Amino acid sequence: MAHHRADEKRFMDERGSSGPLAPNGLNPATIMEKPVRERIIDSYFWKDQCFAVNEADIINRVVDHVNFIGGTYGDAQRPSPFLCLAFKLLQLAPSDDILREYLEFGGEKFKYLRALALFYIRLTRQAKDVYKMLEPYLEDRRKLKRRTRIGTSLTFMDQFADDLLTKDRVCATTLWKMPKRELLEDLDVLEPRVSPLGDIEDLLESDPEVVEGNNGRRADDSEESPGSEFGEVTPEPEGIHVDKEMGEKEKEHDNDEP
Amino acid sequence: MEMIVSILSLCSSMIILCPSSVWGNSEDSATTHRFHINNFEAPALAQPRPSFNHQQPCHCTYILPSSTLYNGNTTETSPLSANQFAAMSANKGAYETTASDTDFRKKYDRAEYAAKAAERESKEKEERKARYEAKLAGKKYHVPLTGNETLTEARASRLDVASNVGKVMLVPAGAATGKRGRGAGFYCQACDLTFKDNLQWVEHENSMQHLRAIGQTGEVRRATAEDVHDRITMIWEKIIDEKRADVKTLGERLEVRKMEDDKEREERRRKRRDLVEKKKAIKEEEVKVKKEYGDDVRIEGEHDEDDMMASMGIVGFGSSKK
Repeated sequence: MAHHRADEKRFMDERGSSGPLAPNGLNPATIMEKPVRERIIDSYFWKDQCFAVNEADIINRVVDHVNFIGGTYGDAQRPSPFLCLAFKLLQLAPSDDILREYLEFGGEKFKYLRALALFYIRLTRQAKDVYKMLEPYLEDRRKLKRRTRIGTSLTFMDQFADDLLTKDRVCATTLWKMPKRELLEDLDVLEPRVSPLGDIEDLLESDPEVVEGNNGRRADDSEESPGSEFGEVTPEPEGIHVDKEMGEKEKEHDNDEP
Repeated sequence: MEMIVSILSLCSSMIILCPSSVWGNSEDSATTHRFHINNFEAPALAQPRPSFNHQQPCHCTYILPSSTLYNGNTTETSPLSANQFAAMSANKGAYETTASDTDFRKKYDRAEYAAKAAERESKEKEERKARYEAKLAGKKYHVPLTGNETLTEARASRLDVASNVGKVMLVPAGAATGKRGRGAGFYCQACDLTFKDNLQWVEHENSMQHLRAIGQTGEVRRATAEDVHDRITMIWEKIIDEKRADVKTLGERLEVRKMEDDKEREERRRKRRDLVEKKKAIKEEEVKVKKEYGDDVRIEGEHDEDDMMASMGIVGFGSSKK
């Protein structure tokens, strides 16, 4: 099939009865919840900017309009452009090649494009693919803006990827229940993950005081500005700040593993 | 009654039918009233007879004397037949022209319009049939595509509302009925519809009705991974260019200027080189052609000089004239 429909009518009408399913066996038209879906379709952004968009045009839209991640925001619970474009991706159902372009080539340049692709992969791909495709981006330390119903907060790409892997609700969407990583490792579907921090066994066996006293990381981040541990607003280079966040996140994530 | 009949026979007649509401009838709606009017004056016609009952509809026929119609043809006593009437109008007028009274009217090619009507009717009949068949099959009827439709493409720009702020536009009061016609609001040329707000407008632009009106299929080309790659590169380069253009300090501006100058100079150099090479190629071609004259096209003694010059590498003095 060389063409998409420009609007979403057929996609919504079929509701999985005749249309193709996502690789993880879910119906793409019902992955997002009905109220959210209806808000998306009613929104002006969807009608104006998501009409007749194909896989390449969606990059323009991301670059022009997406400057925060989030589900619905504000009192009116307006769907974010991020969510609208994720819904458009569900309709377009891009192939793995295109997703790789989004993640790697485009993702290096446009961070929200990578975030969108990560979100879409988590929604539609099989568990082993999700782990394989999302885990490399636990090392992407770029900042992201997250907007919720109440306000705006700072988050990071690695944190977002981790949320996608561990949480069950992200961006106004209930993520499908994935089997745990340990289970897939036991079934020999996945190789055990090697954390960038090193072998988890070694970390546990090493002197516990070093880990507890936060000195394990302190040794690396020797340039960290004084007073930052007390939550003071100290001007510091962005990279270091991100490093710290990253480190914590990695630790949390690794502790989940056996 | 007899008198009226005799008048009829005497006069060349002109018959005027009036709306029944103005001219009444006293007894019978089917009766035809005939009047003989000597001085043909329009206001006199407009006077209703007071004795008439205005409620009942009737047809009034007015017979005008021939003298009022045709210049002094009063000697004629016999009633004119239709043929004679037509012949009279075909006579030459006072200015000896052959043009008749109604020549200023448009002449219609009846055959052409009949053919057109037949074609339209057959088309409508076909469509009716297709509609009926679709209905029988329980489907919705769609006008078949012509094959000239283009694919739909994503919007390149957003609706520009801000540019119209503060503008005054005059719109005729009766121009639009409902959405149809050009009124105040967003006007769609292809569908002849006006919309009052941007949401309605964008919904209309997305509708199949509009897409068909502007000759689009409502389908979008599926992009490949290469397309995606190219698009990312394109956007990235655009952003880089913009960043380069958006510099603040003098030093940076000078640097940008220098880069642009270099690029321009390089371009000019390349053009010059191309031009020289092209000229050289043309010259070589000329020399080759001159050397390769076949014996059969030669006229004795004519090309000797050219050949000699060509063999010495001289082609001419830059003129292409011979």
